[in-house]
Amino acid sequence: MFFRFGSAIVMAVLVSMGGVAIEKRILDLRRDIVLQRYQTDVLLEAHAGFRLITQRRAAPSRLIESMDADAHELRRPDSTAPRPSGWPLLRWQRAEPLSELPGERSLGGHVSR
Amino acid sequence: MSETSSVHGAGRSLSRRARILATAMLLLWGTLAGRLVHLQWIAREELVQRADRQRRYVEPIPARPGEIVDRHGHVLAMTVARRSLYVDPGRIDRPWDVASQLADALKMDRDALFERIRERHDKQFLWIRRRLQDAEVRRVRELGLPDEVWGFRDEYLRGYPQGRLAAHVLGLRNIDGRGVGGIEQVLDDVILGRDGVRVLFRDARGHVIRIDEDAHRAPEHGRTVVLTMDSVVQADVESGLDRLVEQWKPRGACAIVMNPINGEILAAASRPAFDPNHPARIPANAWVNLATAAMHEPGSTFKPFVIAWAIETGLVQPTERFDCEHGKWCVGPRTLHDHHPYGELSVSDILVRSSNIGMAKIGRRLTNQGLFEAALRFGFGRRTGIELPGEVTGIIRPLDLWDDWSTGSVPMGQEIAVTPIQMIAAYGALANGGRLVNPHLVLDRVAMTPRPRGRLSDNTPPAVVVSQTVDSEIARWIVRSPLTQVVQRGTGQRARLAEYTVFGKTGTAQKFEPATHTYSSDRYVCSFVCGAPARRPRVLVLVVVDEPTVGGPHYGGTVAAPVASMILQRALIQCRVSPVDEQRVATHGRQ
Repeated sequence: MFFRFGSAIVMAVLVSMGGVAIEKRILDLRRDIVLQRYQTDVLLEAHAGFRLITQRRAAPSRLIESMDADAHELRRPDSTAPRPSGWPLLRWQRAEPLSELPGERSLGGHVSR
Repeated sequence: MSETSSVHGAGRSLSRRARILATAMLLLWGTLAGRLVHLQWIAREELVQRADRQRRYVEPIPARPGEIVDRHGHVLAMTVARRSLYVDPGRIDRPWDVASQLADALKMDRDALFERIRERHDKQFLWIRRRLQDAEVRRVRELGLPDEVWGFRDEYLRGYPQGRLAAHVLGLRNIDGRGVGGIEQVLDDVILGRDGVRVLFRDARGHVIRIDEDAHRAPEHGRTVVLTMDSVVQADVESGLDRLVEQWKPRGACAIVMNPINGEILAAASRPAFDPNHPARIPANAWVNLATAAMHEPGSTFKPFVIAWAIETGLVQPTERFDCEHGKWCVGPRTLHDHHPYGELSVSDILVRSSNIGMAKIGRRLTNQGLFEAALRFGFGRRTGIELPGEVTGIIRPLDLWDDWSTGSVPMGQEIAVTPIQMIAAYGALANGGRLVNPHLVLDRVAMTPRPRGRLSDNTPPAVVVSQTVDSEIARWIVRSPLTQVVQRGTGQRARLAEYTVFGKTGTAQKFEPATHTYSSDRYVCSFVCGAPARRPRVLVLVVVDEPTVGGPHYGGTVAAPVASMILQRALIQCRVSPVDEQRVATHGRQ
């Protein structure tokens, strides 16, 4: 009788402790989610700020000003081939497979950067 | 006996006290019970709501407005977060101290700020300054004001990294974040997005104790709008217009660059201009986008449409010749003049020499009905539908108001009023084999910053073809013969380019004087429209100059043509239209 009662008590305590642990984990995860959301917002804002600065500094109007001041030579295109689409950085490709590079794992072919 | 009665009296007194106490207790508990019933039953709903209001706080999460980018991904408008400063005037004990400290930190007027705070001492919220710079935020923090007195709120600030570039096309956002003018206004709903919601639970002191994740609704950020414009071409247009304004000091000017094949606007600018980053400094006359919201009598730039329609209807043959009366022709009470006396001119030469008399004779063949149809057929008198606010329709009067005078005036571009966007769209029809394509600015609306779209391509999705205006052979003849000769040996020679075959037409329209009901002899609208390559037009440029005030003579060929030519050359290079391409097309054409 005493053993059964004790077992029930222990079971109840274990279940409640498990529940508390799960609840704490849920709270931790929620906190992490909120933190990540906040960090994403901060990074987005930082990205927007830097983007604004780079766009200001790379404005075509600044280029035109220097062209008008004869700082650059205006050259006509010698080909009507279409410009490749996509950001330039995404078009760069390695000539050799990654496996030939020391200290890097092969991904099974050429990769785009 | 007396002892007995004394004890009895004491017992009665005790009983009386006990009754009083019991009654008091009963009343007390009754009151408490009643209060509980009131709280828990009668006033329950109201109290629950009040508690909820105190604990629960619904905080909006502002959606970030989308960007506006050009066809290559250059950012024309974007949004950054800035801090806005507010105070709680009701909690400020020493208004003057707070006002003077804040005024010094933000370089504001102390007295004015003090007055604002004092006037609102019974309020709990007052904006001091919105969208502060980082340095200002730092200075305010360093003041060390009591926490309960002030605070920051994040707000979005619209930035235009290219400055004045395409300001009239973009418009701007006001202090409340609503689009005013340009694409910002027309696509406000698309760019603005939808605010999200965050539900917070706070304790009695206002500290957040829990965030209700279930009630959280993420904001739907605004979409990025990709324009057909090319920032480099736009910068060339702005630069050209600035030089033109400096040289001729006109009342206004505008320029448009368009791809005639699909109606994509590559650049559009208007003068006076403004910087959307500084809305407070915008002069009143700079708000109007002359490219779409202003109209003028087109003058000679209207003549090709009359000739095209006359040939289309079979009333005039391209090989015909007209007697231009040696520069003076009396029609009823009216005497028409040409700038130079001409004898017989071919249809082509009438355009090349811009003969008013020759045009009037063609107009008589067409009659008012034909002239009216020509104007409507090329899209005049109605909006083009470009995605800009405030576009006007121009003026084509009802046909029953036209008289004999109109038969002589309309062929040379008088008695009607057109907008520059209508004019370039109509020339686009001639350059595009007679197909009138509606000009448009929006290439795409995407959820994030897009990849660049590459070069100007014929393979872009087909634009809406409004109508076939004239036969494609007639349109090609107009472009390749008379309009090309206008530039080679006519009034538009200043637009010649060494490596491209340019076609174009000048326009010099006298302005109408409402007071005297006559045409002014010293106020003109000078315009020039040109395109290249003539065999397969890829770029069209229109420059309109309203009332140049200095120098002279004020002809379309002298005022507008040089700038249009410069813009055209640079646009052709930017669009990778090579002279080699033109030669190849010519070779194929011969084969």
